Amino acid sequence: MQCVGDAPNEIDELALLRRQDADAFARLVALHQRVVLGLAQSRGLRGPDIDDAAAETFAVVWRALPRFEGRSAIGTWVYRIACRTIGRRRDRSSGPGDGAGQPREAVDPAAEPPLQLVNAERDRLIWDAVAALEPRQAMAVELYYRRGASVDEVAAALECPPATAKTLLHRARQSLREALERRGVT
Amino acid sequence: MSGHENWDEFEQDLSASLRARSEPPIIADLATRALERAAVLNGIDLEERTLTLQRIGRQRHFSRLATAAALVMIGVVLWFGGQRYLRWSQALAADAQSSDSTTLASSSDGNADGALSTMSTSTTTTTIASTRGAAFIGGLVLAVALILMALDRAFAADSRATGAARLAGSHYWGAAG
Repeated sequence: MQCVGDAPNEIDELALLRRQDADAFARLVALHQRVVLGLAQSRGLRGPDIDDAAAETFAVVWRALPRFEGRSAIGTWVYRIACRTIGRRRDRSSGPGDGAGQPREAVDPAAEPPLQLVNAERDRLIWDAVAALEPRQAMAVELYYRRGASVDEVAAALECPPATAKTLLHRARQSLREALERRGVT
Repeated sequence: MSGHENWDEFEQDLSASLRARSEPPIIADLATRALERAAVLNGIDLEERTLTLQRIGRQRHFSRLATAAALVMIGVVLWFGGQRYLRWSQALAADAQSSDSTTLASSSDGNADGALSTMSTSTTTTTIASTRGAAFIGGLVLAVALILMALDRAFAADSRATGAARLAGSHYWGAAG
């Protein structure tokens, strides 16, 4: 995962952020918005809901910046806030993202049509199964499998010990496997 | 995916599928939108905080009124109760004095039956007066206990209001890193 802390001018950047410098905040948003948007997407939000969830997440980040103590990388801190905010947002929205009535997402145009359709259908089922997971499991899957975060990073983002993060991932895999088998994905 | 023989293969497919998912489009003005949203949230917070402080003010006012009322009640009960108790004590003493003199007079007349009857009446009067006195003192103690309980509740409400005021005044909202 990307972190502001990885930058060489980390201390200056953090100081600017704590002072709620708008330019530093814009850089922070640019650096982390992809992951935040992805988290919202993987939780089953669509279109304007994704945008709203991301804006709400960064609004919470902005307000909390003066109190950021630097005990964790700021990226991890942002993801932690994102997990909570998106979870709340999802609870408020109409329901789980089971794909019903939602526009299909773009698929790889390089694939052959029949294979493309098969892959697209399979992927959609997987994404829906991820969105239907228990919130913390879904976040863990998104961060670990899609973003390539380490178990420690997942644990930090979800505010739990690494062993719990591993358990979450294990249970998520089991749930996904069962859900996909039920839907006949082979 | 049921055809997967081990977790590794399943994980690889899962990872590949998730990574293949098209990303949501980047929002160019997300920082601006977030700042606007933060301003709205700040406004809501300010409004909520103002309302909370107003409510706490009302609670405090009420608890102070309750305290003052309880103190006045204690004073009234003690004053009137004391007055009444004094009157009863005096009446009891006068009654006992008159009974003693009657008994003595009857005994000196040699009327044993009359003396015995008068002594019995005197004992009954004393018993009734003692029971009334005990009941009155019990009632007084109960009233004071009830008032103390009311006072305790009033102070507890004030304490809660103070705690809530501290919370409302503090910047507790949001996450610390």
